Amino acid sequence: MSDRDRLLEDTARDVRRLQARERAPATWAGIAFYGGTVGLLFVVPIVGGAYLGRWLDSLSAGYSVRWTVSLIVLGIALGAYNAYLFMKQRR
Amino acid sequence: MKRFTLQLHDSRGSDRFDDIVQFIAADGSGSFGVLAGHARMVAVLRYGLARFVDSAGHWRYLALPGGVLACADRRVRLATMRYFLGDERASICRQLADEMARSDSDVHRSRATLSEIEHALLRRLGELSGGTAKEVST
Repeated sequence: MSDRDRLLEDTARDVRRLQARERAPATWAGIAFYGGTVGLLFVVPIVGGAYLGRWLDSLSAGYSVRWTVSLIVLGIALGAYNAYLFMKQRR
Repeated sequence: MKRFTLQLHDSRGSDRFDDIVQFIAADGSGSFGVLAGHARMVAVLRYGLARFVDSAGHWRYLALPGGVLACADRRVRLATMRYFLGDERASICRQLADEMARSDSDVHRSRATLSEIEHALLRRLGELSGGTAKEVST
């Protein structure tokens, strides 16, 4: 086999492998890992915001949920942004 | 996102790509990727396909007959005898075959021209030697 035939053949084989790898269905472990990571990235800021807000509210006199609600909303925004960045990077 | 510079060298010249995020190629042990900040290394690439992506997510594909990859100080250098660069993975083999056919055609044309020059030279030499023989006989 000449060098050029070998180059053509090996390049075509690599292209086929790459296409097959991209078409291959994702494994359950991969889906679980990916979903778990996205879920954690989304949930952690919300839970953190809720705890921080509750603690700040407990410092103020009387009944208040102002900080709790505000930080939960902030956590939702932050979590969504985190998850978006992660998914964008992995695409 | 960290980036590095990729320099490709072959017998025709060189190309330089800044803003590269990842370079993927294969050597005798299998496929591997290089990111910015990779430790210094040298690898002997095998025949086949290599690829790299810039920060905008644009992939480029390289078909190469082996080569030496050197990675140091946020700069990756690839030296090979000849490389073929393409933007589309699916059509890289066709581009490669076209490029080879074009190269063959150029070589063929050069050989034909060289052959014509040789014939013309021989004809002229024959004419000159014939003229000299006539002069001697007269």
